[in-house]
Amino acid sequence: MADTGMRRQPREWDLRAIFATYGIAIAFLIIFVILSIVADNFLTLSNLMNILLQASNIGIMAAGLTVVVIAAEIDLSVASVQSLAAVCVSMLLTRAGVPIPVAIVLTLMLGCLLGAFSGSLAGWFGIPAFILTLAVDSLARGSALIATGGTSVFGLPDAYSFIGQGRIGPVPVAGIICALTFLAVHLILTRTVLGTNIYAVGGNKEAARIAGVNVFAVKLYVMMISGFCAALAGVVMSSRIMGAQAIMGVYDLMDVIAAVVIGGASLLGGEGRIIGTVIGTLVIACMRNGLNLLGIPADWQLIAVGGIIVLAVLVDYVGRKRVA
Amino acid sequence: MTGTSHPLLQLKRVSKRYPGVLALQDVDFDLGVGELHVVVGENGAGKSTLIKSIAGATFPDQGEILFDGSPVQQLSVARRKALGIHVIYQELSLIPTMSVMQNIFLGNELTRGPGLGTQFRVRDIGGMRQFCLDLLKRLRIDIDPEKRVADLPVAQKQLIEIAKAVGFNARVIVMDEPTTSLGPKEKQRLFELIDELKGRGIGIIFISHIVEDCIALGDRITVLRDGRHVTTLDRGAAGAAKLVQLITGRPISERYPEIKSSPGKLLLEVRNLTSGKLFRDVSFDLHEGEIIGFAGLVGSGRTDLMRAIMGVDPYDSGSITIGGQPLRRYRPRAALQHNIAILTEDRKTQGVLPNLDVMTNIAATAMNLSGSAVGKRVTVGGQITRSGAIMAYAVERIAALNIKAHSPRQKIAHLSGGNQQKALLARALAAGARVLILDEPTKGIDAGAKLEIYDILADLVAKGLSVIVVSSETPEVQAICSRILVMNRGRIAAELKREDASVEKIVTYATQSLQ
Repeated sequence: MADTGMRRQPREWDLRAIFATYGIAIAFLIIFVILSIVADNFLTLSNLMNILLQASNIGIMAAGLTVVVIAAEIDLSVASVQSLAAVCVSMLLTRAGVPIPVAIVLTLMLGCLLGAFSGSLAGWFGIPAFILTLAVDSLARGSALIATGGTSVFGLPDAYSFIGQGRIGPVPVAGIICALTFLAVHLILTRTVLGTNIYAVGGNKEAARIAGVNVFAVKLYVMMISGFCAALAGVVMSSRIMGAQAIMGVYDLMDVIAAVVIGGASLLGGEGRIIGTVIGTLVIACMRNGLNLLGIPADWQLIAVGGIIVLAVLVDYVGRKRVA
Repeated sequence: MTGTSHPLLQLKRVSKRYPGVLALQDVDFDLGVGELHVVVGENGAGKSTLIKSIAGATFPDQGEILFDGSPVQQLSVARRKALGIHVIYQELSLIPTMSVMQNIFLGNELTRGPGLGTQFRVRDIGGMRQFCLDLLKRLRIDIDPEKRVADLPVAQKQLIEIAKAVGFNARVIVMDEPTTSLGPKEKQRLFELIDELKGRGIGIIFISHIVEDCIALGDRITVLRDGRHVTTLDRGAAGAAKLVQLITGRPISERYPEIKSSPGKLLLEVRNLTSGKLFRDVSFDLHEGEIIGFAGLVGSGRTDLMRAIMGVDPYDSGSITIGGQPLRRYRPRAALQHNIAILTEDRKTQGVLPNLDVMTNIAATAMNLSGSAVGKRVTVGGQITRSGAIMAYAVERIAALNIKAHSPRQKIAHLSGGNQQKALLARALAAGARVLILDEPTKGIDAGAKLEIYDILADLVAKGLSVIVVSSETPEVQAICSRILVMNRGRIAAELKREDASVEKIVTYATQSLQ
């Protein structure tokens, strides 16, 4: 009796461990294979590059949000900051006639500033970033609407299209920017003192403070990173469509959170890796693309994304309970 | 002694295997009506598994558990509770934001009239209040049932847990380390209550690390070691030394080694430190190579004082200087930069970084102090971490402090209490600590690991480090510290030299009412 118990137990445990580690990747492969079979034109080089392009702004924002989530906070303002940044860079280029690099740098600084606003209040007073960024979301969207008067901004200089439409070989420039963002955030998380502190604060803020971690700085920096990424996504987006509108990308927040959660970062903080978010982003992008190819309307895609988030969270929580 | 036909609770040859460990092996145990049966053993001896098996939180692989003569080993926690088997765990299970009354009735609310299902019923608030008042009065517990649990000291929370069990007709109460965080007076109150419960025929299983308590209380004492039943002693059958030897399985000549202080230059000066009602007008000095102790009741302000010195909590007035330099308020980082480090009372919530591995935990403080020697070694300019260097440093320290971990990459949360404590000690030393504040350094740590920690402290003090020990284990403070400051209601009531101090004296100063 004891013997069979001994033999069975390790095998079960191994399966769970494998699933906990590679579950997301396996799920991604399954989705990928299914889409390749059911949707014509899914598995072509041009479509895959297209997915990469479509994934880029979600991916850039998800990279920033991952850092925030690991620090046990959340940034609900990313989609609106993205729109405001798109409007900001477009208006700087068309109305103010600022040179392209200057316009981009100013816009990225705006993103950092908005992040610093939430981050400093969160760090100083211990207000949850959840509520602060909800306010910033409204502030940013409102500012974008007022600045544009509700209309579209067009007429950006041709050279600006390189960021969002340009390609190096078959690879879209936006995809490369996204990959570099992922790499940069990965290096911050794994190779810097700040990265260790982000995990420490996310795991136990009070213990981290007593251990000498500057909790204020950690909160400030994570929100600034997220703000920066959202602004960068705004630049990429405005370049892709060569214009800006205050209400574009209103549903992007959903996709960004989905990418991070599917990627396995714990909303309770302290856990998460960039590679997970990369896969989470690909899952969302492939889903969107596949559903488009299959001719499923955008309204129903929302239902699909909602369902996927629930599923991912469920797998995460059930899996963790089992392993623990 | 407690002569009934069959015992109230009986375990027969109970075994439980976890992957890789045999947590309990053929353990026999019984408890009579109105009896207090102590269970002792080191960490890993099987006490927790025994409790869980009795509670129904885990199911033994083999053996029988009889309650009142009938088998209960298949029943759930809730079913066993309904029969009268209650467990009060060390981490109390009260909900801090709710009142005493709400906690007592949690899950058992009295209701009135008809209702929908079990959830949508009208709570009988008047009835519950009356029941609560009666219950607390019966047990002579003087607590307002309307008070929020969060506002109560630990000792009172424990009394409420006991009241809760008694209120729901407990016949067996298991108390897991109930005295660890209590001062002498609170302990006395608990013991009185325990006597009362025994008088009512309730059987009590009492788990404790504190040998004196076990000997004072136990009608019988069962010793577990490595998952096996070593022996069961009748009252008075063994003294402290003998019991410790049975627990650890090896002779220990000294439980508390004397640590030699050789005070050098003045290092830390605390003057007239005051923080609201927590502590008032506290002044003391600490020299290099000195180990001093803070004794007193829980709630006498010892922990609050240490947290203020460390900059964890703010204070109102007074001054702290280290090496002649003033220390900024409310900045743990500032204290660390001045080479002061603390190991807090609550290792789990204020000590370890639970989601990180052992090596990162050890280096966590140093890497944030770019000026420190270890900080320079494990980072590039205080910004970029050098994982190879962190690993090498951790390996060194793990060996030096004999920290038992599978690998430096093991999550610290998976280590035992004693090894976590040693890792936190390593963290403080990595940060270049010259003053170590240790709040209940051996709380919840087994006898073997305790001795190791005393050895490490002796070594550090000999090297010129200064140590402040806060402890509720009076014999511990008395033995290892060269000076003992006794706190009483936020003030220093006495300062005793080791030669002049005795457990009785300390307890007297800690409990006497001032003017």
